[in-house]
Amino acid sequence: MFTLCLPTGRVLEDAIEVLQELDIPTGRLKERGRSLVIQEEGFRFLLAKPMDVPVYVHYGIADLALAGSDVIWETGASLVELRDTGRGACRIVLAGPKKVASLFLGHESRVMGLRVATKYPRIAEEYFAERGIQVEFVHLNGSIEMAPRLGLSDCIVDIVQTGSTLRANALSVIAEIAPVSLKFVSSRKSLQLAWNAIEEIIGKFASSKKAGDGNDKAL
Amino acid sequence: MSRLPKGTRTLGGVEAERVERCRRTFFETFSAYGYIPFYAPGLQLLESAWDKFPPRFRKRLIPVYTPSSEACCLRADMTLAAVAYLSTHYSPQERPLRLCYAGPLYRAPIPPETDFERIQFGAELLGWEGEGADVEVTALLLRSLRQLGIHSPVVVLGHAGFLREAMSGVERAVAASLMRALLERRYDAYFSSLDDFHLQKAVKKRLLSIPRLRGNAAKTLEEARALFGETGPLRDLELIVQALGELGLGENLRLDLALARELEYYSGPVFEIFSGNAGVSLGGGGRYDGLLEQYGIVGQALGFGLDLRAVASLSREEGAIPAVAWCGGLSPRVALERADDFIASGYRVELSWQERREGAIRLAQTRGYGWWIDLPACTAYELDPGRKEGP
Repeated sequence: MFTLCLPTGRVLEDAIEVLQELDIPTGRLKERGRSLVIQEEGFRFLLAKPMDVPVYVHYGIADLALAGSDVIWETGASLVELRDTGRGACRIVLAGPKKVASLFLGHESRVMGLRVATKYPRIAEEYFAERGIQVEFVHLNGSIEMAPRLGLSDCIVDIVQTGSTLRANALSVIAEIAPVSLKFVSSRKSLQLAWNAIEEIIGKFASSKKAGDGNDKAL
Repeated sequence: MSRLPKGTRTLGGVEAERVERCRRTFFETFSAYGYIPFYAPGLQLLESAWDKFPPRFRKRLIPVYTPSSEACCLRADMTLAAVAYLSTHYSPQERPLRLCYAGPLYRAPIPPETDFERIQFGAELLGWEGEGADVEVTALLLRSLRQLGIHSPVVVLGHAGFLREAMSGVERAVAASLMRALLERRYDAYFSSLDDFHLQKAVKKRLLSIPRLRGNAAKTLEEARALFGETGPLRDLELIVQALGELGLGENLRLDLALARELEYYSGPVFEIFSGNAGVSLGGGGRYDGLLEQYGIVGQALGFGLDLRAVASLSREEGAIPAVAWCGGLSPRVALERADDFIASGYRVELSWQERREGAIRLAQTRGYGWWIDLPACTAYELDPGRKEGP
């Protein structure tokens, strides 16, 4: 039984589409109800919170997984990043009200000590530390966009897809930190011991991409 | 309440017994082949270690000061100590030197791991050339694992020299970017880098193939030769594969020509060992000629380190049968002599000096022993955990 871990939430549909393109059976996944472990034709699917997907892979519970690049970066887990699917695309950005955005146009001394709300403390810390900017972080688990409006923070680091939630909260993008998309990941053990099965899946994905963009990547 | 520092743990009971059994098995196997036990200090001077570690690894060091105000870190690596010991205690004529060790190492954990302390067994063969050394170390390691009841460990072999040769015609900055991606096992980034840089078509084709050159040893070598021709590193690997195959260890081998180890001092064949359910390796090692050069020593060396707790968790080896031995009023001399007889026939006994037979049986049952020995009667009884009364 080959075990695949998939993230729940908004990216699950993207993940299922990727599997469908690879002819992996997804009938039961689509009609999953409240089930979190689903078996279908030699595959076992584990549905986990996005931030937990790397943990299932790291401990060898799942042979292969689809995980967002934001989650891989934030958890810092040591995984094998096999292929970027390009699906579930969005961006991690630094965003804030116009007044705060204008501060970032000037000397960095003007933004020292700002308060930044985020559910990505590791990514945010690395971003500001690399620029030598000392800020204060507020770790939230959701609804990050309302933090500046309510005076909890000056700006935010969060993921943005269309930007409509930012606009609705009178925020604009100050800086793009990184693009985000779903990636195929595995553990180091699975890479060695389940290589044939992984190669088949990733190889199929590479072939479908090659047909689409003329690229000749093999893995 | 007694609290432990975060990231550390106390080992006791069955787990400690297993770890100890693994440690003993490794020591016995390796010392039978001339590996001398070696104990290094728990601290290493930062001034000696800093430039030997890559930046990624330096971030995982745990710094401390000695009472003499010397800046150190908790020992994060044993190989440096082994090489320093060789360079200062042995003349070139006395080499090769074989060392083995077991002890704690300290590195900041990579999430989701939380422990920063691990008990490692390792061995180093310093100052010898040729694939015989690689085969010796790998074979002894696999033998030890088999003795511990781990029958299907997989040794994944790679070659640091293969990667260096494969990238020899590539601009230095590009090669560094590609090597970093392989080291971090970010194959998607590796492919993206190949897209970003202008490379000759043939070179690009070869480099694109590297992450999939893995799996069955013979097949992988054949595929690699078709792409890269007959090279020194591929010959090294073939000789190792062939020799281990002749020793009946071929089934345990895989190749991974994209394998790069975290510590950059590896220069020749490298390997990692996998088994069981955990997603990470039990350990690994390889050849590190470059590190010897830094200590002014010419020659080759290789070594490996294994996580003893991870190995112990997979160990299925049955040791001596644990039993409570009731002395039943015998004199200490007679009781110890009779216990010796049981130990010689495969038991591990805990003496019970209690006067009452029933008390000794109850103690054995409470402590989860499967066997109880009546020393006056020189008889061993299997305790049935479901039964309340004694034998």
